[in-house]
Amino acid sequence: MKLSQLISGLVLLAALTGCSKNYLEREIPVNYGEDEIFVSYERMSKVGYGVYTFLFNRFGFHRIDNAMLASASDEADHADVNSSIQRYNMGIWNAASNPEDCWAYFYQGIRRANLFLENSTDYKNIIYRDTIDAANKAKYEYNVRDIEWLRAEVRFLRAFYHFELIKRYGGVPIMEKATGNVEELQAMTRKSFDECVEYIVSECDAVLPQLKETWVGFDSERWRGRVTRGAALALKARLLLYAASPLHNPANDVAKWRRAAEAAHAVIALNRYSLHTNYKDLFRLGNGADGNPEVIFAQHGWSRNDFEMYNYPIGYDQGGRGSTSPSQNLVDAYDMKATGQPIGEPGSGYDPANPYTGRDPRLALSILTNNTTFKNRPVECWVGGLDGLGKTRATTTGYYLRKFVDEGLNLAQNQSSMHTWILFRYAEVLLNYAEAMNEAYGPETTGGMTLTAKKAVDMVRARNGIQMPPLPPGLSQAEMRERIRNERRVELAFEEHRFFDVRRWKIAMQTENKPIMAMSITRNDNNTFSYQVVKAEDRQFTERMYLYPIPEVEVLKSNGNLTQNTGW
Amino acid sequence: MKHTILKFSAVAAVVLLAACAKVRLFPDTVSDEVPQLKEAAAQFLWIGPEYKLALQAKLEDGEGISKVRIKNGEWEIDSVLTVNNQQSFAINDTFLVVKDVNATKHAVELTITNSKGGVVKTTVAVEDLSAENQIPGYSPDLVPPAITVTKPTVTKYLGFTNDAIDLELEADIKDTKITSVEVRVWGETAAGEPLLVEDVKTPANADEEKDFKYARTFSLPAGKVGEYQYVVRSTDAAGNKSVKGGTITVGYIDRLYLSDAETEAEVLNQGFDHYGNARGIGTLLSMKKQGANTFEADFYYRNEAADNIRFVAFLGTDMPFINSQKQVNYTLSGPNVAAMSATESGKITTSLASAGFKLPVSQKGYYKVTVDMTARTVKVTSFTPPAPADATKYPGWTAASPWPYMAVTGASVVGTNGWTEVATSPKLAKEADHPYLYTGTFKTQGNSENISFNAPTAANADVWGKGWFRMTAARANMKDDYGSLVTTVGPVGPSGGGANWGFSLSQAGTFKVTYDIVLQRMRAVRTGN
Repeated sequence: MKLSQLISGLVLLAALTGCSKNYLEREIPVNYGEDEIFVSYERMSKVGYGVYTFLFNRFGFHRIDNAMLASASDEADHADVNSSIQRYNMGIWNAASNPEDCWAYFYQGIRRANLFLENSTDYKNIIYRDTIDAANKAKYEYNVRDIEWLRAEVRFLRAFYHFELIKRYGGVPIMEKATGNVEELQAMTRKSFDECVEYIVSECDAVLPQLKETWVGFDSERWRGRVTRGAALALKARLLLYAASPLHNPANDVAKWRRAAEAAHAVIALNRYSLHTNYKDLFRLGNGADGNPEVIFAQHGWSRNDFEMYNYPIGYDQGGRGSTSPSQNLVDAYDMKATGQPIGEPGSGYDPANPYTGRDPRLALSILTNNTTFKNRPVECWVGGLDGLGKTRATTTGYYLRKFVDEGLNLAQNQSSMHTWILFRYAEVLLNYAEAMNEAYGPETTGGMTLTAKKAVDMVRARNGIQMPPLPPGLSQAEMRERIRNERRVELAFEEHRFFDVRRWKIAMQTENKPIMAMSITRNDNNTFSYQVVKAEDRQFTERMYLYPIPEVEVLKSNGNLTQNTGW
Repeated sequence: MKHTILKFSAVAAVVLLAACAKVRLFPDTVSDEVPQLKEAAAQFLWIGPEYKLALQAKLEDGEGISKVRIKNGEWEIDSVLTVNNQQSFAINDTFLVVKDVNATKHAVELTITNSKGGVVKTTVAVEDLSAENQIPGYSPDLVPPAITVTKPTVTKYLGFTNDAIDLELEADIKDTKITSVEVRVWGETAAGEPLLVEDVKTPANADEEKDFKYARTFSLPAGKVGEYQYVVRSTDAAGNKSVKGGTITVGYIDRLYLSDAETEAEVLNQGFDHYGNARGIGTLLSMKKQGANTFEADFYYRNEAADNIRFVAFLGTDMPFINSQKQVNYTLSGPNVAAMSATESGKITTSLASAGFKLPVSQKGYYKVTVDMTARTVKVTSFTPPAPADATKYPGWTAASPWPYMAVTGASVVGTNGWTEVATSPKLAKEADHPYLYTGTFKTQGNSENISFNAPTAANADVWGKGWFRMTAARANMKDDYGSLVTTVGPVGPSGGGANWGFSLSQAGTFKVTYDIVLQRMRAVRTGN
């Protein structure tokens, strides 16, 4: 009964808690029985919109016991030692206790999708019954069209939730119907990773023509944020990149890289998306889809200030309690602006006495470093400073998070602002493309497409306001691989990519076993600063952790049909 | 080298540091004793070109030491020594490590186990001696060769002719001792035809080892769209490398304009704007760039015998009008002009002798024209523009009853008297078979006063409040698809609508004008005095 546990408690619609805006905001006044749902457009559509609610809680911000997923990677340390995120870092998590277990959650979302898809097949008749008045013809046509789109969107979400499962667990059972039959559920077995990939690809391809190209400019903008063709293409691109990566492609089949490159190129060829001209504002727009040409698909956020409460530096009198402490490991990854070189290269221009001067502008836009002005005063990360190391709940690394943080909030007055988590954005697509192209064709060959790997990376580096020098020409494939990986680390920092990237690249044994380093800063008598790197925390990563364990309870209930991942 | 290391290790051992006090006892041991770390020291050393961690320690245990684990996370050291139950054991070891980018506080973790299972874990602070090289006089050459590429100075080529492109590559390389210079030119045409030329040079004498002048001409494929890279890479005697390079494109266009000038005279006499310095109201239509090398524009095609449709391409900062856009910078038969093939429908040719100058359709109408300069194709898709519906901007205009004309008003227009229509006002008459096109001729007096178009008074009682056609925004914002000044004329509703800019054809003379009220394109050509 491996999956029955996931669904036994599901009361249809009762759990359809809407989120804060528009279609996600709809609420149902009473609980209905299943046979009372698919009788009208209003009730039926709410079931479909309800599938969107599973985009919450397992993506973004401080969702894991108040910690960001970044704090379980070499991007950051989490200041609260009691948070369950620390289990990852100490290596004390297992099949019975996984701080970020997603198995049940995404299968609930998948079942909700299946319920909608199975019961809305006769939607035209249902809507016709609902709008039999001839005067309602326009409403009928609108509603029919809406359900047609919604059915495609729900299929996308079902595919997306399957992807979120396989990137954590490897191959999983594919659920295409909302069965409640215990025997049938117990008999389900895991598909191979590649079988799951082909299923998700086929779903993306199938729904593509049925999805809207954009919701911008439609029906007074009320539907912005729904799934688009770009989202389906972007999911396919990310999926095929994972499938081509060393974790899932140990023989390095180049055809897989070519396929991933072509999938990413399909997004680029849409010519719909472009890089936002302000890296800071990109993450601070209320709704990721509002006038933001970079956002392909986003979790439609709501107004809140808890993220700022957790991430403002500790010395601010508005409730800040430093939580996400960016690591020195990450800080060192930002190149020098003038030369475009890594800080360790001879001639890079890096000055250890002024370690934050002349760096890639994305450092200052992502991480609060010592003496940076924040809310009208310099951040004091030095030992003994207002925000410095050693204070309870202060940074453990000498740095605070700046990306996603709204500096303008007055927490004492409980001010809040919209926080939207971007799920797919154009810069990631360009970097997906660059990585796949480099592996398939090398750094500077188009392979019949419009961009080389180098050009795609250079586009990301050349974003308005960032304008990092292009990568040097003539890099070898291995050199380009390292540069692309570093570019992902910097451009996509804290966006829940690095945690999975080091796994799919199969380098986590190196990166995740290195200690998290911190910057110990001393203020000198003449108000200058001295900097010394110190160890903040040791990390533990073993071979089995490349994939999550299937939750123990699910394995036990499956009568042996659900095989556990190696090592767990 | 090993001798040197041992010597330094021995010196360092004299100043052994006490072990860190962070001792942990493990209760599962059956022994009353745990191993003792008597002395320990560690140094971070720069020795020749390498950085090393030197570790010395003395261990003792009455039960006998079975193993020692040496660990450091940031340097990825994790080494286990099997000791064979010796009661005393000395560690004197070195590990290759990487240079610190920042000053870093390091520590080595020792985990010592005795034969009874007693364990002690302790850390040894690392003394940083890496500021000076341990080999006196060691002064490595860390500076890579300096490469200055002096050619190519041109990196973009139209590639419209069938002549191969000569890529001149020149570079000046300087270093204390250059050992090699490698030059590579590679890439492919858009059709996938690869090109790879490699050239490796070695300095022939001592002078060239210090200053190497590289020069060679490479040949790029003729008449084909393609993208190529070049790199100059140099290595010196110390193994330092540097590289410089760039990209060469052939056939990748920065600006493309559709020209419907029937003659060269129409090119030279296309209209000026209010200040006489922007010529966007003439016979060129800028095409919006879509992707790497594709261009698109909405266009009304007349499908007449006199059609003369051409595409005018520009690279880099080159543009159709120069000197504040006054001076025409192209001709209809210039080297940057392409047109439809006379023989292959839908294909673009850069050989005007074999061009047809028509669009690949047989009906007049509105078309979205898409030119792919990589595939050298033109695609036209018919579309129906939405009819004017704004009662303030288009008062009285309906599809069933379009205006019969638009009045031309303004003090500089001959036959007018001020800003409202009078009996003698020149008019643009609605074309007989078209609801949106208004064509006519009028004469200007040559000053720079504004001109407007107006809805006919018979259709518009509110002559000041509705039906004015002027520049639609502040002049500085009137840019074509490439940021050059253009004078788009659009409906602004009341006379003061928008920024209240009219337009002017500042050179006195007679102008033939066609205005399209849905595409807002004004095509003005001076036809005489």
